[in-house]
Amino acid sequence: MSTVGALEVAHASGLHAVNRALNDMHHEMLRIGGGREGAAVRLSVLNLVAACVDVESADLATRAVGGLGVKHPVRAIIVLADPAAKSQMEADVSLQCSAVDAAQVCAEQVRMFIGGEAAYHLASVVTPLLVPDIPTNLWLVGSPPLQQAFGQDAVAICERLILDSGAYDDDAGALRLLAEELEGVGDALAVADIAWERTHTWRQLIAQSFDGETMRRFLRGITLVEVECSGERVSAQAWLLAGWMASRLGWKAASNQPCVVATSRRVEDVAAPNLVRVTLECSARGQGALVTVERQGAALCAVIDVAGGIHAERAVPVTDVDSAEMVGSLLESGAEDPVYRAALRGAANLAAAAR
Amino acid sequence: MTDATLDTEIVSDAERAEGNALSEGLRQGRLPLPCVVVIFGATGDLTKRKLVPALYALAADGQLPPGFCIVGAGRTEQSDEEFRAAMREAVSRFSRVPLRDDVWRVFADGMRYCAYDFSTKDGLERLAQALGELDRERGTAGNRIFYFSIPPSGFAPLAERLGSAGLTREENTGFRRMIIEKPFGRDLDSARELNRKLHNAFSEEQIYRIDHYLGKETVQNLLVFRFANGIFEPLWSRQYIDHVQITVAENIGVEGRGAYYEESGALRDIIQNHVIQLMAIVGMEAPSKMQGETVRDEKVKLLRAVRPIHPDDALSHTVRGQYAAGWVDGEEVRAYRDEKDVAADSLRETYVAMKLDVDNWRWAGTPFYLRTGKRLPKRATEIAIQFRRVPHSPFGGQVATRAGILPKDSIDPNLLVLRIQPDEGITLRFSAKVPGQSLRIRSVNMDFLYGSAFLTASPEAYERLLLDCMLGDSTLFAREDEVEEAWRICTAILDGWRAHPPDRQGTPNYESGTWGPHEARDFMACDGRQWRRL
Repeated sequence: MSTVGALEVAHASGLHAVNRALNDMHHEMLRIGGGREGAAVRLSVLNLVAACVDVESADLATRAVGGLGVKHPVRAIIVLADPAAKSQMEADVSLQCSAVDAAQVCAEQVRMFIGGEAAYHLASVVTPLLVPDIPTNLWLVGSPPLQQAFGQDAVAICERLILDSGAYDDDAGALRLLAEELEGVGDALAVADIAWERTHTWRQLIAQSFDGETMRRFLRGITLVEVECSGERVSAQAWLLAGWMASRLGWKAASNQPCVVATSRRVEDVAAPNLVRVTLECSARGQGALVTVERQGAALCAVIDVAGGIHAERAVPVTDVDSAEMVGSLLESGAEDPVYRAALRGAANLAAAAR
Repeated sequence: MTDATLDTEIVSDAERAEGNALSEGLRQGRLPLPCVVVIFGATGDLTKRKLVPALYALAADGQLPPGFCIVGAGRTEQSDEEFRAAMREAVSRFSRVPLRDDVWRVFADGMRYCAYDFSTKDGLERLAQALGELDRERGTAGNRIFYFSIPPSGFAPLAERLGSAGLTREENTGFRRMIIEKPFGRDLDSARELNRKLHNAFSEEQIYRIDHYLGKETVQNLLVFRFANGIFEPLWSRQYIDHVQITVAENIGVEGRGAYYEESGALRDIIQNHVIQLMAIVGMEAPSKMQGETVRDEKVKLLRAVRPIHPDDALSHTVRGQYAAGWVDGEEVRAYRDEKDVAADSLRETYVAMKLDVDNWRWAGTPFYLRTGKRLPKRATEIAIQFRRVPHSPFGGQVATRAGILPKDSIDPNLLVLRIQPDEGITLRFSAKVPGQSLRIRSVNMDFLYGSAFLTASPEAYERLLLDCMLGDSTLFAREDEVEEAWRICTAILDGWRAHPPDRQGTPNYESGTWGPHEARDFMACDGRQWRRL
């Protein structure tokens, strides 16, 4: 697989010109696909709208979207809106193509700057540019103010919102706000959180440690959960993982419940704010067990130790993926995640109790 | 492990019923219970090339449980360390995922070797002892899979020996499963005999018969294509389908397996298992659930509906062929009879084409044409569903037809091709107007390339099948009655062929690098049809 790059770039001013450029790109895409005998098929999977608050986040989104096309044939619209700027609508439209074996996979990309009053009405700008009748994801790039982000009418055009609760300076505060906003929108909007996605392999290894018959009995006997992350402060990832444990096992903030501790420390090999280690102390029928999942280099290692019993290990490779890959991974599953919502509430509660 | 110890370690019924609350919402929900895979024939080629690399790939993908173990059992005396070193070399050469030290360290930690000569009547005490130790040390809780990577003649004796040693009883001691690979007998009687002997030690639910074709992503996609898309099911019958062609074409010869091939031939080697399995999936009714028994029930129903070919009719319903020397992929290749361990006057078939009729409401009058061959021009496996022609063409003589036997004024019928390998995907052929003032029609293909739509690497068939076995999911494994039904179809043909051996003068009857004997073309032409040129 190799990236061919932007096959065609057009600059357009105004919505009609952008639409016309997109149509031209579509024909170009079919022409490329038509290299095979007979008609060509274009696989449209979804629309991705990236809402950016500054040039830096727009650049990040552009880079990220450029890497998405190969795995996700999306129409990507990157929007940088500034109500304070003079009224204008300028866009670069390009076709990003990658060679896959004998075929090419292409994705259309629009990078727009919207100035003036229209910046308050993103839905009216974006809707005409979307491929009809396929899911639309709205990615809030960077750390836009959450209340404003949820207040934007652009939220109305999408089925799913992608954000990163770990991108905010005040992780605990962001989690609390996010939990409140999600309560407000209810089931109307699915949310995918990059910080939550980064905990997936950790959750998987922890959950699977209790899959075996020997370990299942310890699941209700967890007495201590310690979640450690790298960095100066407890990250959203750490709170979400702790919140997940609490919500899945039905723990409330009561004194007789297991002790849940989230801590942070500087770790050379692990970039902040990623998780470093999770320790679970368990007891059942008078027997103790320790489950640890720890980052060791480029692998996550899970170790199960039952006092006077088994010792079992697993090692699963992990790679530090960038935002593009993480968004790509989130695009693969479009469903609402009720486990996340419950974990978010748990995380917000735990973070509030720790203050 | 004593029973008393075990009793304190296993989960209570209440805990089991409660399930693992942490698993909900995770993408990878299916992690097997901690278990030991015992590979008999651990020093053989299959272990090195396929089994251990597949298990390693599962480990690297996080699909294996904590405490997972492999016990290699083979005739060669070697230490655990020597076995690990050999397997490390095998993984680095043959695994689809790169070898990583951190993953390998944990994977190899659960690897043991136990010398065992299954051709003798030695006891299995050492193996039983090693398995007991792993249960205690690594929590494998009596869960075992016995992989019989040994010659077929050893299947029944080894199963019986395992049974006598008490290693196949499940009771409260975890699951006990066995995996065997084809051939499952060489005709109906021997298949039944094998099944009977295996059942002395293992129940049918414990037996997993691998047909690695069923582990291929595109074969599984066939089930999804048929039963997750409402638009095709109404068309999927005699009413709209003219006939079905299933082709497994190989460009290779017997590749050093001359002795094996002399005994088996193309019908036993490919048609009896792979091709008939594909036919069953294409033709079966929708199962109520995608579960082992329900899927296999439907496949068996289809196979039972295949009209028996009387041995006297074998020649009119089949074509045999054997390859002569020729050119394949730009290289000159030798004739089958010149291959190592092949008799100079061999009549063994390396090509088979056949027609099967299915006597049920869905397929009556819509034949299935099956063909397989070695030293054909290219490697290709596909299922082609040829739809009926439009009942009347209002376009007169405006059609740009392909060369062939189709009437000049007819429109190419629609064709749906499900490609299994290579270039896995789906092609739909339909008619379109050629741009211009005149009304001219030509066929165009709409292609779906599996690889370019989902750019994640597909797991190897063995990965999927080994994982399914660990999970107790038998959907993609052949059941006793499936195997016997497939043999019922093939044994009648073999009987007919035995009564009417091929003409010595006319053998071999196709040149390497061609699409088989001309009789195969005539065979289709008699029905007013033609083979697809792949």
